[in-house]
Amino acid sequence: MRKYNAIISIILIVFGAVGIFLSLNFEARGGNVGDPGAAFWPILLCCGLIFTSGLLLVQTMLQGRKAAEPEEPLIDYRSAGVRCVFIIFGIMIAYAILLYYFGFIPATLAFVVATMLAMGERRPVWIGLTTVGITGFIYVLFALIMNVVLPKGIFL
Amino acid sequence: MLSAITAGLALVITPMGLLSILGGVLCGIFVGVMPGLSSVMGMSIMLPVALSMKGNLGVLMMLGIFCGSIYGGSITAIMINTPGTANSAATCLDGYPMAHKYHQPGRAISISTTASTFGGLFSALMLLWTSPILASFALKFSAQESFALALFGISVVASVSSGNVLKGVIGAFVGLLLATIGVDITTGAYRFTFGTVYLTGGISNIPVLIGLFAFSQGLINIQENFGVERARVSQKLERVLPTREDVRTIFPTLIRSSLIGTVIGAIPGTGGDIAAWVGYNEAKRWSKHPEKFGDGAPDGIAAPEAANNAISGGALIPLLSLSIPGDACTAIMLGALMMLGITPGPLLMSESPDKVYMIVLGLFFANVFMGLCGFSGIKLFAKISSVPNIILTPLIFVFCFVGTYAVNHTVQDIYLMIVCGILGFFIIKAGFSIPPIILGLILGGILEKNFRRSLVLSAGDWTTFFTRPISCTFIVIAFLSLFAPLILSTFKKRRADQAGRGAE
Repeated sequence: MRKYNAIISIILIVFGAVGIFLSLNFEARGGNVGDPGAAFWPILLCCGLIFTSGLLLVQTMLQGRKAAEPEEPLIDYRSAGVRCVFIIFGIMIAYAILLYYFGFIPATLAFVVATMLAMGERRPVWIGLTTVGITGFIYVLFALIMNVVLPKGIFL
Repeated sequence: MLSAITAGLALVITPMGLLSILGGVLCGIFVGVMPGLSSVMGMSIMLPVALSMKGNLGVLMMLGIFCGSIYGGSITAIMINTPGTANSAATCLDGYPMAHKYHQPGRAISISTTASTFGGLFSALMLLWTSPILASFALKFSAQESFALALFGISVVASVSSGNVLKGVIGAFVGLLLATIGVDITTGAYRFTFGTVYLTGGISNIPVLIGLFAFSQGLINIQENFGVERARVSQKLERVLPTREDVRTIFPTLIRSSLIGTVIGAIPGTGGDIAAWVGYNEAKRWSKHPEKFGDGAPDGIAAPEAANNAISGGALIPLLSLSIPGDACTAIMLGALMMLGITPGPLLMSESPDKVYMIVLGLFFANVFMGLCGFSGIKLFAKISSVPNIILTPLIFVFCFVGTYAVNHTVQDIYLMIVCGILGFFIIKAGFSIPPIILGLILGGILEKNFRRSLVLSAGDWTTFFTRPISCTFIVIAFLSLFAPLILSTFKKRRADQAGRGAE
């Protein structure tokens, strides 16, 4: 937890600083008397973010000094569950790209098969039935009943 | 008022209106009975579906999901000792022993259904009674009060939703900063758009909501339950309706817990889990047989269930009258209402009272349908809870993708949802809480608009927030809510140190 707190605090402090830098360039045309302008609110929030993230960093460092033993890792990257999650990150990105190029049905058929395989399912009948069932269910619910437009794909 | 109620009733009692509520309730119960799926997740996944529905049907469906998901969690709490949602954790204490030790699962479920329906209906009546009073009071609010109120809502949620106050506040700042992206409505300046057309209109709420609440939770479920078989419901229910004796026994508890749930629901930052535990503790404290609690006491099932379902009406009180969402579910509800063209707040009651009463009566019917579904379909719902993760997980992910795409029909929304989902996975793991981020995102625009309007009205005088009593009170409470946990923990630590020294 302490390692993640420190990393997140530093990232957020950098974000806050970049936010202030970008806000300084905001064009503040017109505005009423008393209006602090377009840049004021984001700068105020960025200052708040830097201040609270700084406090979290200090709090984490103080806790680290007091702690007698090293803490257990928050995310065990060697565990099968976490590895599966990382594989699914990749599958998700691939699915988004497939949706754009090939549309809903082909992309979803591939996505469900890939996700089930990543989750450890190996029975072909189960995979086949679930894939067709989920794709068909979503298509009927969204496209036919709700008249929602589904991704069509630029190649199809 | 009567004509507004009649107009509201006319909006609800239509075949499609009632069907939307029923569909929402069934969907909510489905989400509730599945361990790992929360009511927030169900509501965020179904939000795009609600937005694609005509007229007010989407609002009615969301109300159905809200009620159904709270109730659904109790079924698995009783049958397999696994609460479907955090709201039903207290129900396990007496529900599971009654079902397994005394072999009365049907009795336990019937008590839980009766209590849930009673709690929900009670809170809907309280909402009907209190909303106009609070809204008429809030009509006196100017920009300063509206700013202070929004600040109060965010700070309370930030202070209690995370184990560490600092993380809650950081989350709120991140949400508020996300809300600044896009064209500034006062000056027309482009803020953080990086020259892209996609960001010009601001960050779309739906991809962020689905990514942070549903997608990231799906990833966490995979990580935590990888290779774990979910327990199956194997017991048969002997009956589904409560006996007259049981109803008579639990009636005082129902009243007390419903009142507790409504009041707790109306306080921003609380939720069904807190209401359930307070309801349970109070039932035990008032009981003539507290020793029976934890061993299948009927009051031990009725108390948490009445209390957690009563938050549905309670949480809608500040939402409808003050536009302040009390928890993550009502934050999603606020987003849904705004996107469907209904802006909650004091003006809603004076300008569109029919819409307010439509929501109140919709909640009333949602609870009636919840009771009917509970009593008639309980055996089916108990079976549904056995659907394996291997089927459920891909289904949820596809819902996330399609739901995200359905709103703006742009693939960029899907990319944003994936980024939010992956970031959500890590920040939840790091102990950050999602509700302050979402609340910051949803209330950010209101907060900035009223902040700047206040300064314009006072010609740049900053003391304007503190010279108006209501505004000053809300700001003071907001700061107290943030600093109180820090001060109290320091105070407790000092006392513990002193006690330790005394013992030496």
